[in-house]
Amino acid sequence: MIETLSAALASVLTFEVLLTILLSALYGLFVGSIPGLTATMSVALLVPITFFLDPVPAVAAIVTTTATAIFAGDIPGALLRIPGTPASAAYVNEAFALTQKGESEKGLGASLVTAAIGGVIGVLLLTLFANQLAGIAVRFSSMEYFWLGCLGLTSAVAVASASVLRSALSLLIGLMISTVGIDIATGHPRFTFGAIDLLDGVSFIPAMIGMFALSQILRTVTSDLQSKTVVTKIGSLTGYMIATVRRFWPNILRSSLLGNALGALPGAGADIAAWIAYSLSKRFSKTPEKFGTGYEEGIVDAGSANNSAVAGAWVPALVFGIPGDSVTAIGIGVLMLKGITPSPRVFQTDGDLIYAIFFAFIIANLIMLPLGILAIRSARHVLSVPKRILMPLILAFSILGAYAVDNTTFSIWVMLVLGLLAYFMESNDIPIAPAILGIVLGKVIEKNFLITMIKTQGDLLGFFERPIAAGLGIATVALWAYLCLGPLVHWIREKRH
Amino acid sequence: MKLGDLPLGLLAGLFGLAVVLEAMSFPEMGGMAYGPEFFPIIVGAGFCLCGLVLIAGDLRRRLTGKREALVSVEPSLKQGKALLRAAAVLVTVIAFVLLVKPLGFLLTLALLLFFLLRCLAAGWGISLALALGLPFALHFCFTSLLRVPLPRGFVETLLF
Repeated sequence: MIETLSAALASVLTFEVLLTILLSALYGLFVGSIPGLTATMSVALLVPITFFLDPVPAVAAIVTTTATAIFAGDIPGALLRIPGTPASAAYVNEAFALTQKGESEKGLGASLVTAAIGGVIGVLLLTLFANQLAGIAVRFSSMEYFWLGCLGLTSAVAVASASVLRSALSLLIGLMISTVGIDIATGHPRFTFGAIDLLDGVSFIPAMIGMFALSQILRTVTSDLQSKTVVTKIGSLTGYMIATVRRFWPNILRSSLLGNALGALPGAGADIAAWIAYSLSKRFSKTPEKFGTGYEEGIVDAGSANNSAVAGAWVPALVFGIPGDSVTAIGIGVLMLKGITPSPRVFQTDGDLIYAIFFAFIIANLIMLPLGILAIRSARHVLSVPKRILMPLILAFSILGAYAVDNTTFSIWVMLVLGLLAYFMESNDIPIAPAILGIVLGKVIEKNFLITMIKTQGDLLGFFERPIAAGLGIATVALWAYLCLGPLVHWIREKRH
Repeated sequence: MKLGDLPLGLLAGLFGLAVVLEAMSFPEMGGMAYGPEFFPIIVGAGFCLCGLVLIAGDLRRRLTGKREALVSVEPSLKQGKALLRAAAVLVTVIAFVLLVKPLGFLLTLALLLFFLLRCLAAGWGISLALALGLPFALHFCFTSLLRVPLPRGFVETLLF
């Protein structure tokens, strides 16, 4: 164990990895602090570059970018009342109220220090849980994986902020995309329309770039391009940061735990963790009347929860290959490309690499403190970069990124089609996140279903034969019943009244 | 473009039906009840079900007198300029795919960046500077640092 840890630490403390972390942190802070550009989008654009790096710096780049982008989303939230990423939306009013009172440094200091602490606590919990979970999961077989995949998809629908029906539609779109290509059982090409490039399925990274970057570019260029941003002056930060930790440490601890657990749920992720932590903070606060008027407590809770969730999402990702959110889905894609297949045995087979990722996570959260202060200080300049210049640049990166992954222009078509699809989906209030999980988990579910069917010779009851599988199966079916029957019961009650 | 629940439900239902029909034509796996067609049929059926629920909900609301537009267009899209800007983005992507092989990476990206920047009303100076500078920077990053071969054209042959 000690040997693995020291080997992992040694592989992180190299010039290449540290430089990657530094550059990714700067990139994440920049992209995160521009309204409309999400953490997922910044990671999707980064993937083609990580492609050509070694495994440790590649994953370090992804986790650093996510963590810093999620924090940086707070900057325009506090200063302009426009959250930079959806994860900051929960407390944007609170932070902006502080700015209006001329105390922007209070809100920004609180979100920076809680983001860093929440992130570090999240990684420590990740190390603890992932290892424990792996111990249990070694005994899992195709039945358990099938149910885990189903449970993941179902909770993605259950926790999405949109209506169940629209989230389900999004999920089906994702599953549909996952069926394209050669079938694993018989090798029959499905829905390829004769295109050779589709035999391997829809390439994941161009799909992600399309769904997150291209759709956002289209949305931005069709809306107001002219708006000017005015940023107020910001006072000293470090004093407030220390005071926040002294005063609110129980909140930070509590919300980091909560955020981590929520992050581990597939589909939940940092956005939902922030909303739930904020509302719980208000409920448990001694002074709930101060919420909404520019009071740090809610920012502290939600700010630590969303950064802790980033690490939590990696727990099921590493052990089961089931990502907690879209960013981690991209992360898994990169891991697999590097020849590391997430599994319960990943701690034995690639232990040093996994611990190296954890160390990279911690370093990323620590350098976020000084870099975050820098980002807040330079917010004035970043926020004044006009969109009409930024969008063509992002488009250039998107096109090149999609092309570079497979070295074929076909990937650019994939990006274009899925970008338009995502634009259409968002215009119709259909969320994107369930579709991403559908793309990732569709193959997992189908494969484990077919393997189980071969094992049990077509007996569907085989899915309930093993105790853990039966437990997971019952939980999934109960969740389906709740999702389907809930609205029905509500409707019948309404009729009676 | 936002569809009302009725057209959206119809779209989902018809798509689901098409998926199911296409999946039925897949060859069966010898001696197995579940083959390549099984999963797509479930997904297609799911689309049909979602479509039906959407249509039913819309019809129920219509019966109670609440009417919703079949299709509505976002106000931002009604401005001709906004639509042209979106079209410029799509043209850029498509033109890149078509031009990059004959013209090479550098020239294609420079021309298209300049085109798009001007379409979004960026200044002449900055447009020219970015269109001349960025392709070279990206070319250096991808071919020299990341070792991804980019399509070569006469500019590349001339310079490198």
